Amino acid sequence: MNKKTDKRLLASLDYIDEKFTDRAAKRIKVREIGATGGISKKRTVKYLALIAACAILLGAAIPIATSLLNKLPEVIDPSASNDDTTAPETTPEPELPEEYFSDRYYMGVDNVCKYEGEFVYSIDIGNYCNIVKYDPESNKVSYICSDPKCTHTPGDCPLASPEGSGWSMNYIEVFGDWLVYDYSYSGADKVLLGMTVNLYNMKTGESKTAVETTTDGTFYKYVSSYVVMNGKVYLSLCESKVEDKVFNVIKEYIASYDPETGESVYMCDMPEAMVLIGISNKRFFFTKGMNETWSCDYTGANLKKEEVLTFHPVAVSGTYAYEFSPKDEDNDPATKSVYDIVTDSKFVIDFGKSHRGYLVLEDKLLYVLNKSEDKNGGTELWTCDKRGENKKLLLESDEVLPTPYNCIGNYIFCRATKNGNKEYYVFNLETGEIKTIPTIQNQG
Amino acid sequence: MKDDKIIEMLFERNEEGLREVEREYRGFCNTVASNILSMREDREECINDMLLALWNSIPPEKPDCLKSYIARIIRNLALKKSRDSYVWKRSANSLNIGDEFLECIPDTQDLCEQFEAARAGKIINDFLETLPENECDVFVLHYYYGEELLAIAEDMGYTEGKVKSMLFRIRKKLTEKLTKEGIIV
Repeated sequence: MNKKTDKRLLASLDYIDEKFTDRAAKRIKVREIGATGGISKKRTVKYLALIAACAILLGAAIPIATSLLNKLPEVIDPSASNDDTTAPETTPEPELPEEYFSDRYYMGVDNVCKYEGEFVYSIDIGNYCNIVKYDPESNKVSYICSDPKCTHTPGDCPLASPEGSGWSMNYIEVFGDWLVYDYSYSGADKVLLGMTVNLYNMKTGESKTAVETTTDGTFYKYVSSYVVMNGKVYLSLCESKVEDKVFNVIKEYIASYDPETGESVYMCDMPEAMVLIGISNKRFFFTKGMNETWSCDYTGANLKKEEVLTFHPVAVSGTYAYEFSPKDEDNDPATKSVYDIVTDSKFVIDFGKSHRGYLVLEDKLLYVLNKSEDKNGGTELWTCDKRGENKKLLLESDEVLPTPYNCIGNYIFCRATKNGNKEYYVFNLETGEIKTIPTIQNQG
Repeated sequence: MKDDKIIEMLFERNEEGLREVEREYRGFCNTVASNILSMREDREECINDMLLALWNSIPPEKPDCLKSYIARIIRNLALKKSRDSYVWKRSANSLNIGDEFLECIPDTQDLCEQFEAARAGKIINDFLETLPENECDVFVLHYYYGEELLAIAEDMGYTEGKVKSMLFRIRKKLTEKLTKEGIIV
């Protein structure tokens, strides 16, 4: 089976109702499975007999039977494809989005990612930033940069921001072994506000720059926003010219960048006054202001305003897009509207009372509620399923719990800001323990 | 040990519950995973991932049938693994599941991916509702769980040929249904 077939199968079969799959599962009988295959001895004998018979008919019993013996069951690797019996595909197949939208604009989870059982996040060190990982099992923090000779300081470390108070990291994301991160400058002494988008391979240590902010004094090229999807970075790029201290946009367009090949491809021009927020169904999605979502196809044609999806999504899980709205459409801060791609409709999650933030995970939501009307009277950490049902209290504290940012198993990574400084915590849901995560400088 | 007891242990966050799952269902998991993954190492990893997924999902989930619940998890993990590695087993004897199934389902490129696939999925569900239970089970076992025709035939007391012709008739009906619903133009 080739890669194309594999994908197409997955797409429609995944929606078969549980009542059918559950009933069928009860019929599956346990079989004896060999080391490299799923066929029982009894059946293998039967197949070999059949194969031998066919081979005799073809006058080539021994070599074919031997060859098939070695191959049973056949494993097809479409990426290798030389052994594939199907005709080679002449054009590369576009990758299918696995999510409806990228969750690029979610306030919380994007800043703390997961990679091989560790949390990945950025930290401020003096007047620059770097990216570290935290292992909740060993309670150790270490730099993502794996070069033993690196000092992890600006100019030396690929992951460190330039030095200076105006530099900040906006966003990190992990896909495969790649970490995507960007730094931008917002100091008053420089006119340039765009981002430089970088990638770092956490397995190989390879470092790449998708687009570097460039200028010759009057001409500027920079990234205004970007979305990571299916192994590629989709960048909204802006080229401007400064004349008489006025920024004149010459061109704004979308380009894709593939970190594996280093190839960058122009896709289409950006619609005016919009920000790229996501990609799905071979369409780009944009936000215009706070409460309009627009989309166009990959060529930039068929620009249209989305009728049901109004506020842009801030987090995505499967086919649900959790919309951003400071207060919901019905002005109730205890609820959250969710767009369902399957039905092209919305439903509302009722958290019970005003929530202090929520986190969308692969299979559930985590959210924090005030225990009482008094905002300083303690907090509760709850979980529910992605539709807001099956609510369950996880933790109760007389203090204000820090905000959850991501979760690995029973470990919830949280952050709080006290006196302008970020502090990181980890909750262990199993033991109820809340631990301060050590800083890279002061860990034992 | 009964499933109820295992679920109760998982609700109490008692790790012995996981060990019971392993004892009771390792062989079953291996069977389901083997329909998709050919390498033992991959299947082992899949079973370990299933145990973790079970631990993380129960509670709050409380499945009515633990075996079915585990089957779904294993199938999805195995598919993910096969998708990640682009490795998909094709049994030498069995029909090419994908190609024949796709005579009914149009190319997902034209389906607008997830949205249209979900719509097609809904139509398939409606279609399965209309089938007799045995035909529905044959369809799901073969196309959803990747069970071989012979295994299905043995389980249901049919000949392999009967299962094959049953699937042919189901596919034909499904094609008509999808054409009528405008999925196939």
